[in-house]
Amino acid sequence: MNLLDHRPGTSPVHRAPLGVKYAVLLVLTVVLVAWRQPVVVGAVLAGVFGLYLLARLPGEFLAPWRRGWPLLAFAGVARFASGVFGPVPLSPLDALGPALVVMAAVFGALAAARLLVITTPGTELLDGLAHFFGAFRRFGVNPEAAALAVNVMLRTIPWVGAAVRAHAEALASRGLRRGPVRLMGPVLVATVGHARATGEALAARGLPAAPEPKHPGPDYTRGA
Amino acid sequence: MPTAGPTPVIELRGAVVDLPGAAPAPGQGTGATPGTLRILGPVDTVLAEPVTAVIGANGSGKSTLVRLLNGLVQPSAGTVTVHGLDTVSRVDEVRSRTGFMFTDPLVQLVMPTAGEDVELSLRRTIRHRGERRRAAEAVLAEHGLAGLAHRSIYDLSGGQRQRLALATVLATDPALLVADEPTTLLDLDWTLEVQDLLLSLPGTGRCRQLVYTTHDLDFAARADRCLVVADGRIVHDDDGPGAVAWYRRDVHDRRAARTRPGAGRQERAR
Repeated sequence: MNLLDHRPGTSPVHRAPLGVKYAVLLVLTVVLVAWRQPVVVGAVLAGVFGLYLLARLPGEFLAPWRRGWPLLAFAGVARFASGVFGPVPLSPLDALGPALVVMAAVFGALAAARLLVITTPGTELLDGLAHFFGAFRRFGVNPEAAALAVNVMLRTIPWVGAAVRAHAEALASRGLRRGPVRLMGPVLVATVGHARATGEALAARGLPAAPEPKHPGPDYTRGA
Repeated sequence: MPTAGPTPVIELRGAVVDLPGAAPAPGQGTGATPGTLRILGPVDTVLAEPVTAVIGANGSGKSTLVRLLNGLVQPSAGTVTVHGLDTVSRVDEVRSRTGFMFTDPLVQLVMPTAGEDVELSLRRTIRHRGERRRAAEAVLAEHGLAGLAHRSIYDLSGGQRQRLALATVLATDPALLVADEPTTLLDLDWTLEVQDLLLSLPGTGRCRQLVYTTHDLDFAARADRCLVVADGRIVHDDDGPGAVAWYRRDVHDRRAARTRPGAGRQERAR
């Protein structure tokens, strides 16, 4: 199962209006970022877990840790290093506390954001985003296109994961060791190719619906 | 054939496609401006038959030719007119009348679940969310995909995915359906299923014409008309069985010529 796939349900969390979900997410995240006291972070984490319980998805609570622990560990190490080697050097023991709190706070924000995505059907997210981007219409933003772009980006994550696996297999079958540096180039090229193909497919379906402005850049499909 | 709306005719007049590129591959010419390569054309033809197939070697220009028909590729010179609409100046109208089916359905399906992808197609015509959801379920049921609305597109079989891709295209009720190698990735059962479905479309709903490329010569032979493309030009134009017979003979003749001593390409023919 993918990290961001929709888990259908009928719990109060699933049925809550999207605006409320976003408001709660915003409040939780702001508290986690701005108020990094162990007690506060612990309380918010408990609250997020409570929401997972309410959504009847308690088993999903730790998924961001299982899939994203290197990222969280990196945040923790960075905080630890800046504590030990910072302008006011702390002893390693004293720097450990803030590092753990940062990891817990980032984890809490990720878990809360993920709960919003997995309890909301994709089309509803799309409508909500389009509504949100509507506020930027007067700055030349096409809300439908912007919402679609965010949605396509979210749903391309599993595709990139599959591309990484496929290229790792291709390297292994040629007797080469897989490494992030060796993989990055080919996966990047494949991803750009997939993006082009997806764009072509969207254009073929007449999406986004509003007419796109003719961009003044070089147009290779027409002769000079 | 019903003839509602504009005359269902596709016209290509001196259509040419040049792309940037310096070194022409064998069989390729240079484009009209320096630094470009001619990958298609000039193509002059009128397609009025309900079902047209396009066959030819890999890289011959088949895909480019059919991409001209919905404005995904625009001609560098000449004009392409679909049912009376120019594909450059009225590209939005052309696309709203044209459905395009890709070889790989995963490229075409952008939403996480089957139902949501069909809903995406219906966004333009049905604004109300509840109505749209019901319409999407009806479309899925119509295509034998009932009950799969909440299934992730990654969890569908290859055949179901291609069937879903077709359903999302047909949900917009296109007057012209273009398919680029629609059966290449499918097993025999699904190949025949998709072929039968595609061939049955012209004349139903708003659909008037079907144009497809394929390497499956049995499929090509079922078309009313078949174009053989080589090196960016139409080299043969006949009914389905006639063009397929010509293409087979042409390929075998070329291979025979290559294996003759002194032809210089023995290594490929071994």
